[in-house]
Amino acid sequence: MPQLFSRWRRVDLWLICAVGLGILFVLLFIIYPLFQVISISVYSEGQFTLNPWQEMLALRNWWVPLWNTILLATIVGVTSTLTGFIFAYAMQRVALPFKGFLRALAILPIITPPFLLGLAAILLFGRNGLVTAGLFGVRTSAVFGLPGLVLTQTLSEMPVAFLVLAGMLGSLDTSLEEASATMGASPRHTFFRVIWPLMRPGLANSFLLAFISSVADFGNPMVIGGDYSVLSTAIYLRITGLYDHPGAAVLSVVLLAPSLIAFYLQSQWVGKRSYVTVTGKSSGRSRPWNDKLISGGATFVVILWAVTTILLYGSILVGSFANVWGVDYTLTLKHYLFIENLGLEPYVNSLILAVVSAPLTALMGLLMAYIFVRRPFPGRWLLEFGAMLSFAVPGTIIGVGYILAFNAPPLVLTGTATIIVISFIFRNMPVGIRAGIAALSQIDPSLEEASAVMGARLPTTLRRVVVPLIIPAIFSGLVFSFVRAITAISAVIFLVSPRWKLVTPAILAEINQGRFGVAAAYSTIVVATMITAILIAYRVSRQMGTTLELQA
Amino acid sequence: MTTLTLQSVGVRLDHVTKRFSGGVIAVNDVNFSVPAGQLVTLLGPSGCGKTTTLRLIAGLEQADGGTLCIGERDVTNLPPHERGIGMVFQSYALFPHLSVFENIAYGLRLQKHTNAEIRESVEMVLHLMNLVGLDQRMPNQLSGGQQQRVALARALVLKPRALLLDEPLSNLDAKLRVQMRTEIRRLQRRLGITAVYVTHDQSEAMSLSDLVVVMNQGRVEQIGAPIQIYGTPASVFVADFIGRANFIETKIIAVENNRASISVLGRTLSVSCSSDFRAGDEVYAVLRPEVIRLSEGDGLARGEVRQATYLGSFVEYEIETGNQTLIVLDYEPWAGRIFAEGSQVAIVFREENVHLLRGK
Ligand SMILES: Nc1ncnc2c1ncn2[C@@H]1O[C@H](COP(=O)(O)OP(=O)(O)OP(=O)(O)O)[C@@H](O)[C@H]1O
Ligand SMILES: [Mg+2]
Repeated sequence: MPQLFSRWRRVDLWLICAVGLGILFVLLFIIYPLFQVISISVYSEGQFTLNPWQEMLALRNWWVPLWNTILLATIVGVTSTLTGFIFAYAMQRVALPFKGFLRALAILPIITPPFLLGLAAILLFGRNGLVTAGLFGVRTSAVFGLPGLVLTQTLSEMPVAFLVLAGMLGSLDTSLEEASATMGASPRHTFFRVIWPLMRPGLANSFLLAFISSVADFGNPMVIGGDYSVLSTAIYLRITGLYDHPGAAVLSVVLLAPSLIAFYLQSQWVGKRSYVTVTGKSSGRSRPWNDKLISGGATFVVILWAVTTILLYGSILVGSFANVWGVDYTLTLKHYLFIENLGLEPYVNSLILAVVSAPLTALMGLLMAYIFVRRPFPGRWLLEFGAMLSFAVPGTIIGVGYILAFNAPPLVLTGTATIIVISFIFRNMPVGIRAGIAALSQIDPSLEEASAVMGARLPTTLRRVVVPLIIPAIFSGLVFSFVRAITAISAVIFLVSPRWKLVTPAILAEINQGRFGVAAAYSTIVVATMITAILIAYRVSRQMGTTLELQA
Repeated sequence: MTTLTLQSVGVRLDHVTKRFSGGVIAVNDVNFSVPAGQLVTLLGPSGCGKTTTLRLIAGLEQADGGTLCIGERDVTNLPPHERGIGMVFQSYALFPHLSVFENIAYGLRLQKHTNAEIRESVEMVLHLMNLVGLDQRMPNQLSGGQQQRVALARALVLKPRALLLDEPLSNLDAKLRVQMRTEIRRLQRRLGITAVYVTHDQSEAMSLSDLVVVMNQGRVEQIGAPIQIYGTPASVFVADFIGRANFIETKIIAVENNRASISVLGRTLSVSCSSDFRAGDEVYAVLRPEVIRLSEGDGLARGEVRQATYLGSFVEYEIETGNQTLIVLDYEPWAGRIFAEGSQVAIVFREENVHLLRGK
């Protein structure tokens, strides 16, 4: 008993420090930058002003980026949810060959920079595209704009939708479908009257997640957006092209609106489980009496998707070795040599900063998770609010906020590696929080008590009981913080400096200069790195006797 | 109109086999028939293949071998929605997004009835199942017993040719379970439903069934009325699984006119046996604990009370006699007649209560 008491006191002291630190960080690196963005849009030289807003409203077509953003996000929300659902259904209810391979293929867009799909779409369907020009002999820029964006964003959001919906489909009581069948319902009737309505909350959830992601996406609009202007790129161009900070701030506030509304709806729908971890477990079985049309249709969609994905990623691989894409496909190493001459610095930097930020993200997430899970605390809402914002606010806005907030005293951080690491930590914190919550909620307090009752002292309890239970979840948090740090683009594009270049902005720059071969070579290196990292992570987690949980 | 007229038919399984990936033979060459209008229970320990057998009849699993007939129709290759059966699931499987009314109307709507017909049919089963007034509730607003009734109503309203139930009462508390099983039996008798009822609870099987199919490791061990299953078990497994039994190992001395002479507890008894027993066969003499009586006077043998446990309505004794320990249940205990541990008693039973089973 005395041992328990002294232990709890120590924990409480630790907790107070943790909460204090957490609140400080959230205020400084989430709330304060956002506040800066909002304030600069209405506040100038010590005075309240609506000038930036009036200037924007005076522009002809000012509403076009907003409309474009919402239109695109709506379309992508629908298409990615539908394909994700079909994929989940096919994986769980239809007898398909190569399920393991398909699953791995579906993970690719999660672990690679999403705008690689944009690059690949140019290679396949652009002016010199392998399919458009090569196969059909048409030179067209039609892929730039809405069609290309819908294609690439659908493919990159589909895995998340798949994970969410597969989890839900897997938890559906199969006896509901069976009951329907015994009452004389055909498989098709069962599909539309039982499965579909029961999946509706999951579909809405997945739609909103894809919507939020699409609204926040910066890379693909930069690469393949063409004349189709969306808010995230408009903000970026306003800052880098026009040095118009108030104007960028106004657009940021506009961009904040759909993101926050969608996030609010999403968190209401999912209720208290807004940090739910989704696993792509397949528990269902294919049924002997499945509807031919539905399973055939699902199989067709999956095959179409798989072929497209393989073609897209394959074109990057081939493109990195092709002399001049679309003109001369002789194999060459010149793009790789070019990168080597240029220096591998951005790539190395990305690796270093990702490696540095991953444990900090995991730690920060664990800290937040501990506060969320273990006990209510004054000021907890602020932390939850901050964590929510870091998930809901598009990276572009965070990037703008950071250059506004940390460009001048008291805290000058722009141009340093520190600001990049900080942005990684706070952008990826939701991943860490999810991992932390998953880890902590596994530890029933009675486990620690049981260990104490059996005579173990606290250090022993921690070593023998708590740490082994926490490690796997922390590990997967670590892996995906790393992945997200490497693939991040929207916030860091504002934060890179000549001293600290990163690989994703470097690839983007190559694409914008039309050096597709170099961009493809760079991308191939990144994809190879990510695949290696994930394979190692799977191995390690297997050795720990757990499975790596995919975190979307 | 408050009655339901059903066209009940029989169900027949012929050499039905089901293998699962991983080499499990869940159902192994099973044969039995369910006569029209009767209730047959599938009874057996966990994992013996009861649920799989039921799902095969429903068409939720496809048999790897054998034929399955519902009525005259061979349904072996028909999907579940074309078999015309009703099924009640262990978890009830009520659609959470539909009201009680819509749950019950689900199958009717598929049959293209008019709204008026549907309303009439649903109301009729609501009456039948004592669910009047609950039709607009959602399933999660019902108690376990009510959900159970809705599940039953939903199956019955479609006038199934046979009704399949998989441990339908296992989610209810003990009292309600007994009440519901009486109700199910009464309903089944009244409507003349052909029913296949899966359970691992022998008292449920005993009280409900016209016929019991005892299963073990995917095979049928015995088929019979409850009284046959209990009184003349066909195998050591059945004797042991249904109720309790004393097994006395012995050898047949002689057989004559379907009566075998055996030596039990030092006495030679003449007990009835089936015609395939021969002199010299190793057998078990099976004695149910309640057919043995203890007395202070004379008996077939004497023994010592090793343990006496008073359990209210009966006393359980462990009696040691020779190298044998017998369990004895005395259902008429009164204070003066409970034998103390360590006391010597006489063991009395009647020859016709001894049942012979083939030994190892
Ligand atoms: N889908 C399946 N895949 C593989 N094996 C299965 C499957 N379903 C059942 N089995 C196996 O078949 C055997 C019989 O299972 P079944 O569910 O029929 O048992 P049961 O008699 O209903 O048991 P219980 O009383 O526990 O419900 C078991 O060994 C089980 O593990
Ligand atoms: Mg079962």
